[in-house]
Amino acid sequence: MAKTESKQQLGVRGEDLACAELERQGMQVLERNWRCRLGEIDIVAREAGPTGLTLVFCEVKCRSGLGFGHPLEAITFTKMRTLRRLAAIWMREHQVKASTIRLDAIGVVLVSGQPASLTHVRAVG
Amino acid sequence: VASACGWSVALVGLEGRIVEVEADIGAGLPRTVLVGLPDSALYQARDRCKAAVSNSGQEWPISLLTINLSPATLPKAGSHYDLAIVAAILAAQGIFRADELRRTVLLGELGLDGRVRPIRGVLPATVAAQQAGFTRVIVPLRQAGEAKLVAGIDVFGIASITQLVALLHDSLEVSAVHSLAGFNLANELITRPPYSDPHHSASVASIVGGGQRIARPRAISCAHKGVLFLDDSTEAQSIQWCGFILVIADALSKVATDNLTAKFASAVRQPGVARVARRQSLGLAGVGLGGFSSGRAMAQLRNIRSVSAA
Repeated sequence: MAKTESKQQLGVRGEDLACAELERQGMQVLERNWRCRLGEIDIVAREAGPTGLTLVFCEVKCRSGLGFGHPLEAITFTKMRTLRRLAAIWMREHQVKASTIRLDAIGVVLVSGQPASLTHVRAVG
Repeated sequence: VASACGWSVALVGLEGRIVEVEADIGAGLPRTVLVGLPDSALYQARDRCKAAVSNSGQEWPISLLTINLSPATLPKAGSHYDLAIVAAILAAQGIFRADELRRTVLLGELGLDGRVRPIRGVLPATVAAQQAGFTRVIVPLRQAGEAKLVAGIDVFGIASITQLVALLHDSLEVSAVHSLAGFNLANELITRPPYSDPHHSASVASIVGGGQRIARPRAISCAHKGVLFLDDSTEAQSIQWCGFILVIADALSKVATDNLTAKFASAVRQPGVARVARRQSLGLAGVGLGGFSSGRAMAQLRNIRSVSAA
């Protein structure tokens, strides 16, 4: 049980860092860990661009090392397809108008004693 | 976001056709796509190459990697494209310069540990490369003799990805230093790690290098990526100096610096100009150093634990 908790804590820490990164890039975080029966969206953010408002749905994967590969490698095609479906449900429920939507992925590597390494890939799906 | 290309040969019967292998590292989730009409053995090159690169101390790009074999209409079979694929990927990552792969054909299958395995058809493929105007062919080490049967093309045999990197990255750098030092390269790159063993009575300048307007690298730089062996090093004042300088230059990775003492600065007449790269193993021998007896330098070379392995 203790192990599971620390794994969850790691995930939360990764998502905190991911939110900070999106905000640093000028995005506004609208929602975190939004759940429905299909699954969960890690971060929903909005980005004002020259062509209007973009809604960004972001999947975050955090790992404590590279022993099992880079976290981004764990974000599969199936996961992104699910995220796309979830995005549609989220928009229907929230009635937010946006000119475009975008799916992003953020991989966070948190090795204890080392600075966090964060990789942000835009428009993956 | 970067791309590079390597070259290989598709054999259709005995006739060889040149194949361009492009690698592009683009934005996207980590995924490797291999396009250009590969058969299943070739499609598996993806997984083979990935393991081979990771096990050779290099990194596989954590992004969308697209490998294209061109001309796309030509069906391609077999596993000998591995080497060209890996070379293109490493060049795209900037491990060595992409133009190192120009005029070079690469042939070889990879093992998961990064070894280069023999392939079939080295001779006809080399003939095709030579006829198409390529000047260099890199083949599995054991098959270098077969490729050398073809006149008019340089043949390099390699046993692993590590050697490929050494050949494409280090040889150019080492050759450039030797060229600057005034050696005649006689139409070919230096591919064997250099060895330099200046005499203990040698002056600081002849070991460290100098030069008035044009930097003249000497013993230290000429052992770049190789072995610098200082025999009887306790005998000579200048060599002791060099040992000291080496340790400092190691950290600074340049031959001359203004911060060094006046003695050294006067040996290198233009401090700060002669920045000639040097990374090597340093061997020291001499009475009082322990473990070595003087005058048996070569015999003991293999026992040298590098004192300063850069």
